[in-house]
Parts: sequence; C-alpha cells; structure tokens
Amino acid sequence: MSRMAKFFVAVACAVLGGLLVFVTAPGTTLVDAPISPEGSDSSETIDTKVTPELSSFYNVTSWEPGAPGTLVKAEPIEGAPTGVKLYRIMYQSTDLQGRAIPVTGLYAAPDAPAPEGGFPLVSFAHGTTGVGQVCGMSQSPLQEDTPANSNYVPHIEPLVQAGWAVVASDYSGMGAPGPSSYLVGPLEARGVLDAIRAVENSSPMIGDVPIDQSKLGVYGKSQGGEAAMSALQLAPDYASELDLAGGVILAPGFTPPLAGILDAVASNPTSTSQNMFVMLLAQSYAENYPELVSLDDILSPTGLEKVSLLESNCGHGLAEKVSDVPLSELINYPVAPGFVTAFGEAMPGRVKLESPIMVVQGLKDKTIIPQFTHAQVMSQCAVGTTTFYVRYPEDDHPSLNYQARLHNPSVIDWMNARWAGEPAPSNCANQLLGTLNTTTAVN
Amino acid sequence: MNRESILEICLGITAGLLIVVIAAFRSSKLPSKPVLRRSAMIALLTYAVIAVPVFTINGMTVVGLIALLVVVVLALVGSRLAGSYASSAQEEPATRYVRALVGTGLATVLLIAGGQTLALVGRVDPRIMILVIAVVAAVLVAGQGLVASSRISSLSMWLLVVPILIALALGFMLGSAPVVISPIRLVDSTPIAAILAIAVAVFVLGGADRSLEAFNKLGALTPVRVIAWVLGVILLVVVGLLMFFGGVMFAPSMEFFVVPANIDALPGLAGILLAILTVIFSALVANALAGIGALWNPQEAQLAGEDDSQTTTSAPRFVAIGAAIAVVVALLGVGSEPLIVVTSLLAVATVAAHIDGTASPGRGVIAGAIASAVAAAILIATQQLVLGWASIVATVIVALIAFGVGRSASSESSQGVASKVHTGS
Repeated sequence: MSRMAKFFVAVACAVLGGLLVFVTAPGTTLVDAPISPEGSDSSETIDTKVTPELSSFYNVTSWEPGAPGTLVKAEPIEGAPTGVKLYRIMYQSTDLQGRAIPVTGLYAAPDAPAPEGGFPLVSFAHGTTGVGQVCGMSQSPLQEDTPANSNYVPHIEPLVQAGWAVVASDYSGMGAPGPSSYLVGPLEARGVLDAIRAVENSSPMIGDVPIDQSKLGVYGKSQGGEAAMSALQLAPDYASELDLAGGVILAPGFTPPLAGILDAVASNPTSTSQNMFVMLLAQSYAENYPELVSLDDILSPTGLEKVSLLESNCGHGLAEKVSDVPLSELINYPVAPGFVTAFGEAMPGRVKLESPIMVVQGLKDKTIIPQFTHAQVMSQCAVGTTTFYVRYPEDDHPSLNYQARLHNPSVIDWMNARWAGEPAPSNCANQLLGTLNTTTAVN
Repeated sequence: MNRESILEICLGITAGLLIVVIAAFRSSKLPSKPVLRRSAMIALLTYAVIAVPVFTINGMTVVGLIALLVVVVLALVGSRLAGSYASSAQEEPATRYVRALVGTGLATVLLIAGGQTLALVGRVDPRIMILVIAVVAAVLVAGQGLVASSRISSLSMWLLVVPILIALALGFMLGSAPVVISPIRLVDSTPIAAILAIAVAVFVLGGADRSLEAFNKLGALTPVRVIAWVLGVILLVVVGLLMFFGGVMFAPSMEFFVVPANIDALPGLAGILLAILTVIFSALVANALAGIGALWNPQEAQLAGEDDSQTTTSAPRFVAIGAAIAVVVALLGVGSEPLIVVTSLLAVATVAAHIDGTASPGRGVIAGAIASAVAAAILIATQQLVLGWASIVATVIVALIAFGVGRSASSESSQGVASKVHTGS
C-alpha cells in the first residue's frame, strides 16, 4: 500500500472513530424540564422564622449509655395529620471517639395496614437548620415556619404518603445535648444509621409499626445529602447488618477541602450568603476535630462574638443574625490550615459505596454549588459506585425538593425499584468497562 | 457537567486522532535526533502513567513524588542494564513472543488508562475509546513502525506543556508552595510493599521494553537529558497539583475532580483538553505497539540513517495481533494492577534468562513464561494478584527459574560443543 493510501486509511479510521465515539456516547443526565412549578415560588430553603421551644423530652438526666441504635424513649406528637403516625424518639448513637451519646429524631409512618413484610423504611437526613438543640426535626414538625416543618412538608410527609416509614435523625446535638455535627460526615452518618436501627424493630413505643428490614434506604437533601452519602460510606463498618438498598442524594452539601477555594470564598468583602454555613462549620469542626483546629483559628473576634447565637437560633432567624457583616469579617483569612484538614476528614467521596445512589442537582442552585456536586459524582463514578446522576437545568435549591419526586426519573420510583430487586441504573461512563450494565439516559 | 457538551468533546477527540495521523505522516524523512529523543521521553513517561495510581490512591505527598521519580528512573536503569541482550537478529522465537506479550501487556494497561480517563472526563464510552485509540495507533504503527510512534510521541511531548501550565496555574493561583513540604491534609502513606512492588515491576518492564531498547540503540535515550526532561515534566505537574490540593493528592477524590468535572465551564475548553488527552494517550499506546513491531522489524539501523536490510513484512501482522489482544483484555475489565503484575512476571522471565548473555536463553524464557503462568494462577487463587509482597516474591521466583533453566540449558549446550571439539567430530 502506498504511503498516500496508508494516510487516507488512517484518516478514515480517525474520522470514523470520532463518529463512533459520538453515536455511542452515554445518554445525557440533563433532564429537559422547566423549573418545578410546585417550588418555583419557594422562598429560600431555610425559610424558618420561628424557633421552637425545647420540651422536657430532650432532658437526658436519666439517660444511661447503651448499644448504638437502641431505642431509649418515644412520645407521640399531637396533631399528626390523618394517615400519619408521628413520634419523636431518642436513641443511642456514638460520637467520633466511640462514646455513647443520645440522639433524637422524628419517626413518621403510614397509619394504615402494612404491606406484606412491613413498610419500607428510609432514614431521612435533613438539610441545614442550625446546630442548636432546638433546630432538629423532632421538635415541632407540624408548626409552620420552624426548621422541622421546613423539612417535613417537602420531604417527610410526601415520603410517608408514598407508603414509606421515615425516620429523620435530628443529628447529634440538635435535640438531646451532644457534639455539634454540621457537615461532620462520620458523626452525621452515625445518627442516620442508628436511627434505622432504633425503629426497624416493631415496638409499642413507636406504634408497633412493622418494618420490612429488607427494604431500607437513606434519603438526604443539602446537608442531608452529604450526611446520607456519609452514612452509606460508613455503613459497611459501622452498621453492616443493615441491608441498605440505596441512597437518594439531593443537592448535597459537599465542600472540597481546597484551601484556595475556601480562601476565595472567605475573602469576599461583599458576600453574606455563606455566613451561617461558615459559623455552623466552625462550631462543629472545632468541637469534633480539636486536635486539628479551634474556634480561634477559624473565626475572627467578630465571628467569635456570634458563636453564642448558634445555640438558640435556627434557620432563617440565625441567618439574619449572622449576616449583618460580610463573611470576610467573620472568618480569619487565609483560612486556617487545620480547617481545611478537617474538611478532608469530614467529607465523604474516596471510598466506593456498597449501595447504589441517585444524585439529583439543580443547575440554578445558589445554595449548593453544582460544580462541587459534579466533582463528587465524577469521583463516585471513578471509585466504582453505581451512580445515577440527574441534573435539572432550571431548578434551584427549593424547587428541587419537588422536581426530584414528581418528575421522571422520580427518586421515589428509583428507590422502589431498588426494593423490588431491579438492578440499579448507572450513567457513569467509566463504569462500562468490565460490566454488563448499560447506561440509562434520562431523556 | 454544566451543560451538554458531548458534540464538542467528540469533535475534540476526533481532532486529536486526526492530529495524531497528520503527525505520523507529516514528513517522509526519517525522524531527527530531537524527535527520537522526545519519543524516548514519552516511552519513559509510560512508566509514570503506570505507577502514579499506586501513590495517589492513598495520597501522594512530596515523599511519594520522590519515590515516583525514582521508579521512573528504574525503568531506564532496567532498560540500560538489559542492553546486554543479544541483538534482535539473534533473538530466539521464545524471547520474541514473550517480549511481544510484554509489549501487549503495556499497551493494554495504557489503553485502560486512556479509556478510563477520556471516558471519565469526556463522558464517552470507554470501550469505544479503547477500540478507537487502539485501531488508530495500530494502523499508524503497522504502517510506519517506530517512525510513526516517534513523531506522535514528539508532538505529545510538546502538548504536555498544557497540563504543566494548568497544574502550575492551579497551584500558584489557588494553592500555596509551603504545603508541598508541610501538607495540610492528613494521609495514610502508601504501603511500602506496594511501592517496592511497583518499583520492581517497572524495573523489569523497562528491561523488557523493546521501545526503550530501540531508543537505547539509537542513542536517543541519553540518560541525562531524557531523564532531566521526564523528571522535570513529572515534577512540575505534580508539584503544581500538590500546591493546589494542600500537599496531598488523592485520586480519585472529590477535590481531584473539581477541575475535570467542570472543563465545560468555558466554551471550547473541553474540546481542546480532550484533543490533547487523545494525542497523549495515542502516543503512549503507539509506543508500546511499536515495541511489538520492532521485535520483527528492528528499525534502529534505518532510523540511524544506515542501510537496513533486515526488514520483514510480518511486523504489521504482529502489531495488529498485539493491538487486538490488548483491546480484548482491556475490555474484560480485569483492571490495571493485575495486568501490571502478570506483565512484569513475563518481563522478568525474558530479562532473567538473558542475564548471563548466554547463547541460547530460549529455554530459560520458556521456563520463565510457564512459571509466570503458574505464579499468576496462584496469585489469583490466593487473591494476591495485586502489587505487594506476594507479587515481589513471585517475580523473584520466576526470575530464578528463568535464570536457572537458561543457564543450565546454556551449560548443556556448551558441554555438547566442547564434547564435539574433543572428539573431533
């Protein structure tokens, strides 16, 4: 063959190769959908103006340490809607040092005959409401404009209406006293997993609700998305007996431990939108990683003055009180190295998850940075987690609550399919190697 | 992932493939010494691509970077020490075929790396990427051998300036230099067994690498200059990334993918980066395939400007066979680490059998190859087919068997000759 002929053969191979790559490219993860009408006029995620009172239920003077996941006590919540059983619960969990701590939470189950085998159960991991004892899910889920209600309405109640039992951990320190846990993945994970253990066995304390222990899952939004993923990551070591079919991760609160990016955020002289998140992080990381960082390292004198607000303020009320100055005046700059180190310890993402996940992200989200969600998804794909990633181009943080449930592919359908034993779909391109799965597009 | 960019990405990949083709054919003259030198650098960088996952999975610090640099140098050392091989003209069939398997194994590992990387960053099908890169590289190498791989490799060395600039920009603009020495991220260091195992593997693979041998004979593998450039490239990229990541590079990790997941943020950037990655991985694979072809068509004399009367027509066939086997094995999804172990066992069989410079090391190579197969089976059965103490022990045992059998075969041969001389027959 002449040199020119070889050249044209090679060119043909290159062009055909490129064409083949294009036509065989996995389907898009972008859903062609307008912003969810249910959430299109929602206010900010943390639309909470009312800080509830803390009842005597959260008193732990008579609490004794016990095995993780043991149900300590429960009480029915008055005024539960028709068709729903509601309880606040206290259960045993552990802190990062393995010491027993009490954690509280909300338990919601259908008030209806259970299907054969019992109800499916998800552990719901809630989004940012604060770190104070008054800021959990169990305090006042039915009272409007409270932190609990802001998660109960768009998440917990619809899941119960879908026929699931839902247990929602308050997280450590957000009901019963304990270490603050904001974006401390390993600590949140313990609360999420132990909540399942606490309610998976039928008990008169919680209405004798039968649970199908072969139908378990985790479900989280925002901070809770990170907590849910952390729970899946921790489960094989911490709660290996739990058969978690999968995890729904909505607009997760991942923050990469990159000093440069954190410095860029911290040095912004005009922004206040991250103030509350940074205060919560500072409190939680200083408390859980004292060997790495202290509050003095992270916060400026102005920021230190505001720490006391965290204990008794939640949600929108807390955000307003810490947003009277720009972030650059609250936090030391450059960001303390120990703070970055703590992020590295707290964030999930380097370990293959044994359970499949469905990650949903709105690209107009201003609370969660979608670019970080993309990075986390890519990392999960690279380590081999079965990941189904769905992006809504027009949805923001609040509207995603509804879009993820109501639009196809629905997270509820996805979870039900896991419980039905169907193989989990994956649209991770690089997982095609050596597997028999085919990718699933969303359009 | 910020927008639908598959068309742009595929155009970038196609452009990369076309650039590779044009580079291979752009001149009918023989590659110059600088071109050969740059392609020798790419041949050596192959070992950085192979070794880096060992360090980054547990977190690479500056200590890991130094170890990586040492590992890459070991490939060159292995190649230089194995320069005592008999010339290709005298190369026995057993040696040739086993070395071809080594080249195939290298090509397979590089195809997996390329397929995974391009698929992950570009969200394309890795199986198709493996097939496409293998076909294009094989067509070019089958047609022009070391000439093609040299030109492609030379071009990709120039394109490496892009990842260098990106890494340094990230490091200086969003990172800090002191963290390279004093990391702010906690890390469990890479197990010493894995480091030693990859060092041993790279050393023997370098010894059996026909591409490196060819560059040695051409005088293109001048140690100081080539090592300086290769180490310089690795150093600049990794130091830049260490500055950005806080002194420790975990891959895969969320922070590692912050940039790759968002290359579509700027129009055209994704296409350009995918084109560059396509060229680089095509060059790596082409080099490995050229090593296979050079076993049947040693081109060193031709590339040195001397008359080459030893050309054969079977080289393209073996390049195609090697590429086909590499594609099939890559698509089986066995993973890179087991492949590195198995390939290095075969490599040590050829290296050890030739240590003595004996006249007929073929039996040693055959014995070593059989021992490699047995060792691999044992490692699979004991779930130890990974880089660690078991793979090191297996490598040593295979080496001893290949060396012992080769030497005893040579001794028998010598005694037979001596006997004939003595009896006058």
